[in-house]
Amino acid sequence: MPEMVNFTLDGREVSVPRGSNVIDAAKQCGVEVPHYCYHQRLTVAGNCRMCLVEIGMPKLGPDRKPEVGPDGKPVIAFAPKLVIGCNQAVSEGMVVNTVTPRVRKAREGVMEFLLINHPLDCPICDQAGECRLQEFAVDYGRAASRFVEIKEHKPKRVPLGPKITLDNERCIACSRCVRFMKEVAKQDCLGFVERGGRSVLTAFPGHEPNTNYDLNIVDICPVGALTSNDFRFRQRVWFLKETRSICPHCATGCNTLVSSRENVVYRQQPRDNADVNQSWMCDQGRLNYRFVNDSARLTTATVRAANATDATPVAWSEAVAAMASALRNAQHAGQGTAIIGSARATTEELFLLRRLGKDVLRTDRMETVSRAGKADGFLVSADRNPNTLGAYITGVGHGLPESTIPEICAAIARGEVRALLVFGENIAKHGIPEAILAKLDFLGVIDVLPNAVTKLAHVVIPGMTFIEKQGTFINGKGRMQRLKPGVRLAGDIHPEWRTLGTLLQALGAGEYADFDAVFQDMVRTLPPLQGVTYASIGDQGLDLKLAERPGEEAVAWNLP
Amino acid sequence: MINVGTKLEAEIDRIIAQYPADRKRAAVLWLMHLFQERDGMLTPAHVTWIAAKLELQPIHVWELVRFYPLFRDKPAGKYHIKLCRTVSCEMCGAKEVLARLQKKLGVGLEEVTADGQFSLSTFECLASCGSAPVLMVNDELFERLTPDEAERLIDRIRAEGLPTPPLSRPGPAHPRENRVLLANMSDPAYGGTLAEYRARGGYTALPKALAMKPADVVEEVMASQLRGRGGAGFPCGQKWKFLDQKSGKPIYLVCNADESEPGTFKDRQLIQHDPHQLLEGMLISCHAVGARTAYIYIRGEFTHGWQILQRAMDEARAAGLMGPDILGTGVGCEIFLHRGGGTYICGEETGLIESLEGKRAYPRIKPPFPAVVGLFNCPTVVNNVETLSNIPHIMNRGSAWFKGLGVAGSMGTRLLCVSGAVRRPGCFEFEMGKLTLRELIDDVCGGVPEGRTLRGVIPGGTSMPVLTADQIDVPLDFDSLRKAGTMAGSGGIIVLDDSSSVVSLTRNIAQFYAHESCGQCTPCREGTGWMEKILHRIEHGKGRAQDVDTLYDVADNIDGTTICPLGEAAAWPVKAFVKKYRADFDRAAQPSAAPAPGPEAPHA
Repeated sequence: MPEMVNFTLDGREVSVPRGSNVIDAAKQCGVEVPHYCYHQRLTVAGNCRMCLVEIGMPKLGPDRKPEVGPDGKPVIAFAPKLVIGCNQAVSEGMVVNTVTPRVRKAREGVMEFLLINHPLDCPICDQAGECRLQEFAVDYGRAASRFVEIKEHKPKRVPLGPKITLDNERCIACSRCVRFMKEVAKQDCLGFVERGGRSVLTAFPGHEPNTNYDLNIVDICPVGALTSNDFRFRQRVWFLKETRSICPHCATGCNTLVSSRENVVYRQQPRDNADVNQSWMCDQGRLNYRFVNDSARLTTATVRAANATDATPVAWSEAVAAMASALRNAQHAGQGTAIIGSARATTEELFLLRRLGKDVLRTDRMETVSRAGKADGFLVSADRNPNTLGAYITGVGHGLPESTIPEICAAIARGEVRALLVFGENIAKHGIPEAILAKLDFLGVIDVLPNAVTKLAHVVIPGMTFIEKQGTFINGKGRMQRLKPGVRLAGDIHPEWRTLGTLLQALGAGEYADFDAVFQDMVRTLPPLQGVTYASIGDQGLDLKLAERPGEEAVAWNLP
Repeated sequence: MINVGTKLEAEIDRIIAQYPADRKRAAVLWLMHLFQERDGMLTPAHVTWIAAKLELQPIHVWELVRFYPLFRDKPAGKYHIKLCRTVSCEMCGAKEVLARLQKKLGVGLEEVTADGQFSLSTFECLASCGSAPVLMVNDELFERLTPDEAERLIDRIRAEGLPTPPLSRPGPAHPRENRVLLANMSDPAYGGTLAEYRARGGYTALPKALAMKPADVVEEVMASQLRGRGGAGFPCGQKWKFLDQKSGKPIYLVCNADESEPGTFKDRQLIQHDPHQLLEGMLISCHAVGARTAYIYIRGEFTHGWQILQRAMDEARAAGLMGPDILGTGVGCEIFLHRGGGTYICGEETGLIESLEGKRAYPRIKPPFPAVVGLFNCPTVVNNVETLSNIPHIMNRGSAWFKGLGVAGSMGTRLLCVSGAVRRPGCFEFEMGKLTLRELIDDVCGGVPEGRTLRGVIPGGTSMPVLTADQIDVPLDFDSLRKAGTMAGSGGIIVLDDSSSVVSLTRNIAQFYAHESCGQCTPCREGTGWMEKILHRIEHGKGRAQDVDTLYDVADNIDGTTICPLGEAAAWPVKAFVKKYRADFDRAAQPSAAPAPGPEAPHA
């Protein structure tokens, strides 16, 4: 337990962990202190002045002990001026007043100042609906403006690097973006030129933001000054449905919010998680969502006779049955089988693949495709799969950097493997060329987009992307995190756990009524997951503490 | 790329060495001055070169080019005119001078004549209010200009090039004055050299102080009850005592020579005419507080001042008075000059520190105070020029002598700068509390001009609340002025008569603070400009009845809500003027009111 501090908040006795500033402390007690410039993950700038509050401390007598008043309570000496909550740590015995007439007048004053030169162009502003100016104007704004002067005119539609557009008239000079680029993105490239009311946020020409984290400044901009070129003018935010998700870009597993409307994803933003990604995510991961609504998405299962060139669309159930039948035949014929899984699949999917391989096909030939890149020292992991650990724990993948794909490829070439199930990978690009795949008696594919392998396949069953289904990823640090379905595409598309579950059932290897049944079976079967419940994962994930679990040297190969 | 040249680069390297090795950034304003002086302006190529040299990003330099008004990213004329537009100059005819210059040169503000010879701009207070109106042409200051004289000046420059007028100095002492700091310069023959300073007893306090323990020097200054002369009147010894002596970090002394509170021009005299008095005060103070390095932050417009100080420092160093081993005592102290860029907010001590570190002069949030975390994150004391110039006298003659001057709570003398509507403006030195504001104006300065009526007096620089004509029987000391609802401030006394409109004066003052607001925090950034705009509208006959209440409320919403005291500095005068001259404002704000006379003020 952290050390606690007792203080009085608007007349209420409360306690918070030592070291909290007034804004965070009040938030923990359910009181919002409005603010613009303060961000809990950036240094304090103290410039917006919206968080001014009254601060009092027990008055000390000559003996350095608190003076006690006639009512038996400590006498409180209030600071003569209002104090900014962002820069004031709460301390024992402090009195904080956030709702007095004096505080209210200060907030109303600041609110009015922030709006006098603001263009008030909410009808065409992307921030509308999630704008702190709008929100606090409701609480502290005036119904009618007293400002009848000509507003300051400043540069608009300024490109701030390739991904961001700046509107200086909307900017309230809070400097969050300046601090983020310096302190977090480590490209100290933004600043203000001119002075006073003419201050303008800018970059030196040719030195605009150009990191993999630039778009975070759009998120933390409390107003509509910074907009993302990717999202600008595409949707009104109040129409968007937000789904708590996990970025599938790498083994960090940044917590995200995926915004969609009518089953179309419009943007992806980081969701705060102190143990994973703080408040940030990389631009590459953020912008990697368009494949969800790719017009080429597989929406119907197909089967192709061995000698036919064209595939025939069939119902999902028919395709599953065809796949089951082909795998059963191969097994009965004593032919070798193999499974190519994906470390981008959910743990539950990988678990069902493992059951298929180990319990039904009785093959050891299972592998996932590894993707090693360069770690950036911040959020981007060298492991570009989100669930390498899930693949390892389930036994489908062997982890990095070894891969048995060349052996599987050789076995197919030698005719030892005659049936192959490819799950969510374009294996033609990852070690088994089309010419080798063409030798197979049976090639079954479960995937979301068409590729060279789906063309060669005998059965293709459409799958779902990360934002369409339930499931978990285990990130590179052994934290299990949950996906949630946010969009549903039209078509005969089913979550892969159902496809695999039905396949296993058809092969006489169990029955999974729903996702929960899969999860239960998984945690029962896999020692590293014992005792884990789906609920216990929560929205912030669950550290599996793999290093403390017996027999789990699994993390030894884990890349940084 | 720019061609730097070995000579300039050597000079640059010498300047960089004036700052700690890991704080090269501090040299950035210097480098900008050097390049602009050589090349006339600062281009993106200069910015890139300076950034690379100081291991900065270009934005860090670019921010400064566009923050400090002395720097240009566009070409100026061969003769660049900077006309002071602030309150005393405007009262004394700056608008008329500007109109004539525009007509004469055929250019508007920020424009260059077709032949490239002249460019024209207005500037905020040039700290020569007693000789208003003034303008600078390049590095030279021209004083007491009428429109005709301004026109003749242009002709003369065209014919003969730029003249170098002598630096004006305080006139002979009035019988009621007691000149201590101004004593040497009262002799018109005094040139301020080391030899002359020594001949008048200079540098006798330094060895005395060096022979004492630092703590004893601090005690002597404590005992003198010397209060800071920059504006706040904080006890100097107390400030020194607050310094964190246990941090293990170097301690810095910074001399605030960024004199820029409108109405104030005393530090200019002390720097230009008795530089060694200041240096001796700094050397003693450094010994007292344990500083081995000191900086003089001098406002960029003091073009002669910094060179005079530089020469004086060279003399002092050559004479062993400054350097690694002062007078063989083993005590070392280096003083370096740091030239500002023309920014009022650098007078605020943390804004000054940020500027000294090579950044935009954004005042810091306090606490921590500079005494704990100051320049380069080290304990720092910032003292005003006048405060430091008192130190040699206190050491020489003792705290008891000092306390014998002035009145309780306001010991010593005070330099008072009188400007505006008086017959004999100027810089004077009086024992504090020994004469009233009325006596100063009527007896010493000859009262308001013939046929005019006194309307009010700003007693301590424009940020201090104005006193009406019937409130000026107040003794000139810290506590009496505070009791009268105002403050002694910087000692800049501006006298207002009935020839200028109170609304126009208030607009002029509001315009100053709007121009000088650094832009960091919301109430000042937005509120100062709003006040200026309301006042500008009222002044030009476009007021509305409700404007005066709105104006007051805007000022009230700035007051007490900002990071630094510039908020109050902007709010107080407006509140005081509106409160005390309400009828003037109400009358001017009537929709039918006639615009104030005279040409329209240059408007940002």
